[in-house]
Amino acid sequence: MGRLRRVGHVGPAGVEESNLVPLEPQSFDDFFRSEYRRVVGLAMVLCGRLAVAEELAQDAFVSAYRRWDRVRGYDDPAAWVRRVVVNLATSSLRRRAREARALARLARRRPAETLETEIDDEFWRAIRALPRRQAQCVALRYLEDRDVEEIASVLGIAAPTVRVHLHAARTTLAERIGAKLDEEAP
Amino acid sequence: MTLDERARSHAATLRGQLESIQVPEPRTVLRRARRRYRIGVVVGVVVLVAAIATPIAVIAGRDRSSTKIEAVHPHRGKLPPGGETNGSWASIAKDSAGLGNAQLDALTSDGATLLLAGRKPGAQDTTIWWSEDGALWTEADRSPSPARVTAIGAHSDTALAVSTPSGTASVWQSEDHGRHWDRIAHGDVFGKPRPNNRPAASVSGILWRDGWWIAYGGAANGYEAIWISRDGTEWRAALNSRSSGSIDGIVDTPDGSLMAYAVTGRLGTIDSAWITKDPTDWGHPVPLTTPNRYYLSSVTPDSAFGVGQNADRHGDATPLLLSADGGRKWVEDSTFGAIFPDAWIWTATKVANLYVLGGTTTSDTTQPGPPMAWISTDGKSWGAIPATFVKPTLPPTSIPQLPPTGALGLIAAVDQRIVMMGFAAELDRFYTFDVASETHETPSVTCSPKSVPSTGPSVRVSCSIQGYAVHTRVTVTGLGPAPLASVRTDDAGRASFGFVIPEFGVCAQLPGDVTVNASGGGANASATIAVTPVPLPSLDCGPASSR
Repeated sequence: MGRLRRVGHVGPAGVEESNLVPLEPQSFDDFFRSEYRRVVGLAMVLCGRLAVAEELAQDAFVSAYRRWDRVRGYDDPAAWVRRVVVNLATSSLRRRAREARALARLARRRPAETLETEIDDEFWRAIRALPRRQAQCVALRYLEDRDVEEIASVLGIAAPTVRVHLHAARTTLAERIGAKLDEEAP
Repeated sequence: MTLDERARSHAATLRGQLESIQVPEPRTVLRRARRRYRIGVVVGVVVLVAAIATPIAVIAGRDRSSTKIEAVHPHRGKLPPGGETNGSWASIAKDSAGLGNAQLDALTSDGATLLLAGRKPGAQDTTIWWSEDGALWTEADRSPSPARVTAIGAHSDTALAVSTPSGTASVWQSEDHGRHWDRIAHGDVFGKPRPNNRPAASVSGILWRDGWWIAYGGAANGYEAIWISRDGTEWRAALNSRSSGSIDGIVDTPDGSLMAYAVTGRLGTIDSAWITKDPTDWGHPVPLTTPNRYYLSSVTPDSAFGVGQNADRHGDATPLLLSADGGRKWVEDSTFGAIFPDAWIWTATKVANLYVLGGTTTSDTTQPGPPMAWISTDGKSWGAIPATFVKPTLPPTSIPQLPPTGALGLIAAVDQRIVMMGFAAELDRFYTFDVASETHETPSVTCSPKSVPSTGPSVRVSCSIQGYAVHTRVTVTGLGPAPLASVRTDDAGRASFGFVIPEFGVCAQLPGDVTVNASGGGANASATIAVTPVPLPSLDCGPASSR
């Protein structure tokens, strides 16, 4: 058995399941289809709009496609795409252009197709209001249920740094939304 | 409910929502990305066909030989074929100016020469053009290649161009006002990217201050970055930022400091600016205050004006912002907004001692509005590109553009001529404004004779005016409320007129000096014709009378 990589899918109950499977040459199309929604979700948590999130996610996948020979050999290509989308979501100039594209795309859609275009409740707004790195850490933690090591791997930062960000983020979040803080460490 | 319980609940809800979105076909997504590149190729083919059909004379006009350029463009003030003038403004076709239908990326001036970086249709590499008059452009004999230049800066006769888009940075130098370019640095010039995962460093601007070249943009680690270099060959980081983003610009402040500004916060929030007098040490960020959650997208070189944008509200006009404290606190400029409520500004700058704003009048990114620029000497009263130049002739674009296709965003000046260009290949014209004819030649009136006796026969007075806007109606007053004359200025802003001072008798002398006022096109001037008193004979003129 060669290297292992983590694969997962969102089950019927919306709970992510993970398995370790032998590394097979994965087609880009399969990779795209299996990861698209979750990458969009991550972008949506960070930017708040579905249309923009889809633009960001698609650009991240296009980046992956251009380097697919290399990316598919990584231990975790999905983490690579997530890191790209996180960077894209925080690059103001790039995001402005994508917002323009997204808005134009929305303008061409019928209203019925633009439902659920924003996640604007207090909880996600509070996350987006956090300092950027903290927001990235908690987005990966809560939405993707990733542990500290995985978050560190996706963001390319040290695990202790992730812990610091998560601690600060959770403290701030608890204050802002009036929730009780869990006692256990993240 | 604890925080984690609420988080799990919200995450489950969101994941449920995500299940309902339609996953596009990967090939569709890839096709859409490819289409953006293909458009450039299509435009290239169109230009090639047009070039074959173009008369030889026009092709000769594009020749790099300076003598032929002079033949087509014999002296300042003449425009390339197809150029139009209206007062101090000119509208020039890119094609006849030597630029073809290039997509333009960066523009700068070294004081004597304008340098322009762009890409010819279908080309990936950058071409650099230079111009000494802003009207006719010549391709550099040796442009950076292979490279796509994203930033260009100039100081004296040296210019640097930086190419960073593909991951490997290159720095190119010209020491002859942009005619030839040589690569002087290549590789991890602006820091080593982390293996595989990070976008490479990107440089979005470069300038010269206090003996240093200063480049700015985003570092390979995703943080805002400023690099400095003495000669362009070796660069070192000068900004210790720990927030993701990109430095959007560096400008001067009234107290002699430099201010670097960046949009580093969440959407629509400015949270970072650095102010320093030492380009080698930028210290810690300082807070900025802006109204209405606007972020600064462009700031004039004196930090007096900025452009406010709010990505949460696409479609809104972009307001002009004012700062009176060197760029720390910003308020909305109600004067400009009241005059131009639809202004969508992309660039604010100050060149040739004038404030210049470039943009368009629509924020729709698929329906290009007319190119627009606004100019002011004092930041209070503003003029705009003449209406005859701003017809919305651009077709809608299938791919939204930001800035919109029609927007002007590249602005620089040389020899009192301000050049305003758009980025888009589809925008086939650019605009110039000659400062000299309106602001450097003071409006004046000269009359002859310069004095007349207080009594005597009628006198014909000949006057001339100069320094007014060209082709402008000027009204002359002097002897009473009725106008003495109404004239139209010529191509040089001059005009002549005459009037008659009627006969004045000894009992109804000219009451005092005659002041001739000439007013038109926003300019005023006057001349005084002195009235020389004539000694009165011993004569009883009865009650005071007037003519």
